[in-house]
Amino acid sequence: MSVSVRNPAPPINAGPPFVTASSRSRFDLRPIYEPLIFLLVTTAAYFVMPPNMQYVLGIAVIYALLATSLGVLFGWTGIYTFGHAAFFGIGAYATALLKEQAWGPLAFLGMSALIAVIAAVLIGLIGQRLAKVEFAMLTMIVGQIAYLLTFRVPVLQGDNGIYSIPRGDVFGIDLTPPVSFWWYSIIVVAIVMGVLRRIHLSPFGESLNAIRDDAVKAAAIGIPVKSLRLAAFALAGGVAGLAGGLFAQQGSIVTPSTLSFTFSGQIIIMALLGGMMGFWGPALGAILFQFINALVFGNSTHGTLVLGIILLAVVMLFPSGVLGVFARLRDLLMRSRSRQ
Amino acid sequence: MNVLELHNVHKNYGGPPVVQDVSLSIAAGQTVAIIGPNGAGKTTLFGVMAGEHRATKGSISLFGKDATRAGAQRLSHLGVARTFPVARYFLAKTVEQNLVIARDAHQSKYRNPVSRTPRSDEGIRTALRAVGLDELRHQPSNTLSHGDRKSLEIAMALTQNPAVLLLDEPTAGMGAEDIPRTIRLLKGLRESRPDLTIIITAHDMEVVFALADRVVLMANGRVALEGNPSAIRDDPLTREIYLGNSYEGDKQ
Repeated sequence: MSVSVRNPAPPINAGPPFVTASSRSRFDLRPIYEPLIFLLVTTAAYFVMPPNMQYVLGIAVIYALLATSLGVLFGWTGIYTFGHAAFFGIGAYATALLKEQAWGPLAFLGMSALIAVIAAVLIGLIGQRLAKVEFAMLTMIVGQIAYLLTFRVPVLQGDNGIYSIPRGDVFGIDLTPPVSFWWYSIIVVAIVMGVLRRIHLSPFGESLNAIRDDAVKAAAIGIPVKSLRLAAFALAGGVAGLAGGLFAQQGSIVTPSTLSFTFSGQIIIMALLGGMMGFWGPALGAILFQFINALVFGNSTHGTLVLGIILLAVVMLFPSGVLGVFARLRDLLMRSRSRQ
Repeated sequence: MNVLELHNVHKNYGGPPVVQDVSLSIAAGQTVAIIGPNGAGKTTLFGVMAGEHRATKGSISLFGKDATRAGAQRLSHLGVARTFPVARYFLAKTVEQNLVIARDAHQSKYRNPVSRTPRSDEGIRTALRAVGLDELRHQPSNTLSHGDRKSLEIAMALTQNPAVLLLDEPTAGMGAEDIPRTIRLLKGLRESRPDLTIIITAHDMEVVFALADRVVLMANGRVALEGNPSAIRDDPLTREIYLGNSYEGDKQ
């Protein structure tokens, strides 16, 4: 007979009341105002930029969502993955393959997220018993298999990719003009970021942090480590898939590079650049990465090398990322004020 | 009523057994100390009782129900709280946040992805006061002294309102002033909660004799002696085991 009764421990009598009802918590507005600030700042920037930079920013905000989904794994939960682009690519290809359907763009995004969640759950279940590094290797292998499948499965059209993906219209608004699509994508990104921020601040998010910090202790205090890791992996996969769907709509084309190992590495660099530990670090890193790449060095081989050296220096000198530097400056400022 | 029962428990890690043929019955409200020299199998047995390791053979029952296959997380929800020989807690959090996490885990709030993490409450403040960490509650936990880290772990266990408290070397590495405080805390806990079962492993005999109703002496992975503290202390076998003379569990 196995233990089936939940918490049958006999009541502890007398003594100090070690556990009492929680105090009422105030409503936390961060999941509302932080994405709103993100939306306003990026939109203000969008409207003062030249068209070529507007295009870069359009991709950067999608990458911000993608990098944040990686933050759910690396930063929140302590799960290492080297194949995160696979979920982005799965989401992008899902939207591309469904392009003939008469669904709206939001439905495509929903399907992209759903298919990526299913893929993430399957991979998560396979890797549930693996140690951290072994799991990272599994994700890398799965990512490579997904990449190779784009060349082997005829419907995915190999190197040519799938193109002419329509943007469609939302609530009667045609998303073909760049400005319309900007509003559509930034609102979607801001809403999903708000939902993620809500989750980040919740007891579920705190429990993921506990698993990251010490999985043995987390299990000892009653946190279901395996289930929560799987949930985090599914969440991250789903958000990456949604970002992939948005990317496919933005560019109207999907190619195998969206799920390449190189791109998985770039997502890690984006998140490291901004800082893994803070919620907004990966998003900030993704936007910086995209602009450094586009503004300073372009895509030539030489430029990529210099970009790599700069990023290496940033990661070596500021291991907590750009957000970590801001946090340090803020601490120094507060200390100097308290001395006065 | 027996809270915890072990029947012929064995444990090995692929090699020779680390724990062999251990049978124990621990009643509600008892304080049992498991002692023995290094390598006696205390910590492994403790890990088996806490669900960290699965017994290779034998069975374990908790409150009369089979818990042989129950892992640490399950046991925690069944009323078992534990501490570790080297204190484990969440380094990135403050003292108080560590207790909030422990309380929320016990209340299964990890399922909630929506509401804000609830903050401290009277139960948490009581636990902090009990272990003397009230004034340090906002301090980052990674800045605590070794003794305070051990106290923090005990406070985390207390917020979970356990029926069985497993304390693995609760005073190891503590300063001279922290040990009597911890003994006082545990004595006070026993008085205020007579149903609470406490199982301690300890090298510090001061702790063992101050707290234990019953002592289990282990050697070579087996239970060598079992009895009240004074009987164990006066038994020549105890001296023989601790002085390192050869002891074969099979001689019994």
